[in-house]
Amino acid sequence: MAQEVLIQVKDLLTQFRLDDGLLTAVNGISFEIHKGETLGIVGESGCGKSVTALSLLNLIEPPGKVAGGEILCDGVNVLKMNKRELRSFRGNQIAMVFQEPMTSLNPVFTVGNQIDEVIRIHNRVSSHEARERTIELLRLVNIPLPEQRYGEYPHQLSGGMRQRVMIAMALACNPKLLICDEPTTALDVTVQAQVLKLINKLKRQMDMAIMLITHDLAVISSIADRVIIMYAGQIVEEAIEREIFTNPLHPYTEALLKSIPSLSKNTEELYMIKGMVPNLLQRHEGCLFAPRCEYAREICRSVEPSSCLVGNTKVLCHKYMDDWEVAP
Amino acid sequence: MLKYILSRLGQAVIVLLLATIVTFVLVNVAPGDPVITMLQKRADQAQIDRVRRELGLDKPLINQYFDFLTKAIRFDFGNSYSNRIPVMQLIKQAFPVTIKLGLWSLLFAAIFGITVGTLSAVFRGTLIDKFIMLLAIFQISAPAFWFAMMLQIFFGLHLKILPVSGMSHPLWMVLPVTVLGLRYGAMSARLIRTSMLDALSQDYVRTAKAKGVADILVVMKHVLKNASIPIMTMLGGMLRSMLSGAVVVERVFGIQGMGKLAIDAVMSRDINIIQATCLYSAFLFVIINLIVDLTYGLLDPRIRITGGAK
Ligand SMILES: Nc1ncnc2c1ncn2[C@@H]1O[C@H](COP(=O)(O)OP(=O)(O)O)[C@@H](O)[C@H]1O
Ligand SMILES: [Mg+2]
Repeated sequence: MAQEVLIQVKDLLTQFRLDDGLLTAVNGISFEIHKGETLGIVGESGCGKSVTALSLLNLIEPPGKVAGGEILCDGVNVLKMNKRELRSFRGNQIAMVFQEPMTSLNPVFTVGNQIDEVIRIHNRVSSHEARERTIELLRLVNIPLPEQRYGEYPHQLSGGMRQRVMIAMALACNPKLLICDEPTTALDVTVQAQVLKLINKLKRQMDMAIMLITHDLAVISSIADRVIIMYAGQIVEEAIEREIFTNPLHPYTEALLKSIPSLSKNTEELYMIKGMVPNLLQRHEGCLFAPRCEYAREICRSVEPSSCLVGNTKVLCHKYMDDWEVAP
Repeated sequence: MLKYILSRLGQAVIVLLLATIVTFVLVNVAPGDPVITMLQKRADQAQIDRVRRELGLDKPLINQYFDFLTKAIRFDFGNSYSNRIPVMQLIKQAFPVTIKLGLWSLLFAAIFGITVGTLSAVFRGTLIDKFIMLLAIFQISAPAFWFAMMLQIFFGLHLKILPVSGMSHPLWMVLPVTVLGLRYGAMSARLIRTSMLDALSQDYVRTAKAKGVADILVVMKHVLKNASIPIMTMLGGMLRSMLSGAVVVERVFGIQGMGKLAIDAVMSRDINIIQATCLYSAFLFVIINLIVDLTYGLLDPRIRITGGAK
């Protein structure tokens, strides 16, 4: 599958300057997003998924800073854009749906007003045309009675409806990439499934790429084309969806799979990954996952692994490096 | 919305009625006999009794109260005890002065406070923020009379471009408005900064930025409207205290406003004026709260639609 590259991220390094030190939230990651694909990004909470997403929009604010790397969208470096270029880029080329539908919409403006706004920023249209388009979008995301909803305020809608509004807003300018940051985490299980189905349907309909962020591997199964597994600000495995579920390479991916309730053999006993996520404020030697890894050897604790290719899967683990058999 | 307005109006009427009772009772239980003060102790008992009868002060308190209430509804507060001028006439002279001074000062304070408070919030932690907050603290802690006198000395006596006091010069309001406006502006700047910082840290701000909304619009549209509820509350409080009469500033600048009227009346135990100014304050309180409440409804749909469950 030789697909056209839409976004290319090279050595992205995002850090937060906090009172007790420099926190490295995203630690030099590189990946690509292809046109029209669904890329899943999975990892425990705190591993840098949201920060990666916000970095793509160059939306990291002090005390945070993108300290290094490039983000190329159609060959243009997003990190080098000036304020005006950024404004016409955000919401237009890349749009984002956030995790918290309850607080991500502005409580004092109507739903319609907030969708109109993004349309009118990026297109020269009359308020009437914007309204028509907004109602059409509300219909597209399966919101009943769109004309009536147009004039309602966020607090009058349920969580699922608000997330649909967020999606409608994100789709308003036909973005090339839609980033969904844990779009269903805050929703009821039944609503979760509906929203995921909607996202999947829209992707087909609108021919855009989707970056679906989640801490739950189960969410992306059968939706994503490719999956990136993140751990402590690094990409530890990158593979097509089927490979991740049938042939996980990294010990962390294995552990994540085991902790999906329906896949573990004994449903009464939920598998938990032992140990704690490393403190991102500290410098580490060796592999970041080593303290929690059941395969860890001496080399894992002292030498940083480098990325290697196994079949079509990229993995960051000593196990797959040449000297593993003879390693101490 | 209509239900919300009606319930607020109903509450306003009840509060006003209570205010008339409290005003009446307080004035009547306060020590000292106004008739004796009025006749300045030279009168004999017969004279005192006659004046008392004329003023209706011999009737039972409850009757006196209803007299007071029925007249008050018609804006009739009787004559001033000390100079026999109808109280309403005194108020009609003082009120326009106070309202002019108050509204200009409020406008000054609001523009100054919102601009400076917003700047401070947007540039939080920088030198701009620190400088603004330092000036604000200076403004709040310096006594009003001292600051007023410094301005009088500098602009009035030294530069001779503005009147020191009185109300005859066409520019008489400039210094008093500056003193009041800066003071209230500085107080509000701190609160506005806090409200803006709170609104700026909300998730919808990030959503707006991710949509490509310009920074300045994020602040002026998304943040300011959310921060406007505490700002309105504060402006209401400021308006109330300015319209009750800025006692210190009126005194220093020799302005014949409501503040001076009230203080003079208390000094001379002029009951009718005291009652009228108390009721005036209560009326202001109720009216301004009503206006503030109604603007809440306009600003925040959650209050408007759920009918004020806040
Ligand atoms: N605004 C911020 N200030 C300080 N630290 C932050 C901020 N945003 C994120 N971080 C830190 O960066 C790391 C990654 O966070 P995030 O990307 O939000 O994780 P997640 O994978 O759950 O989305 C976390 O350790 C978090 O504490
Ligand atoms: Mg997150």
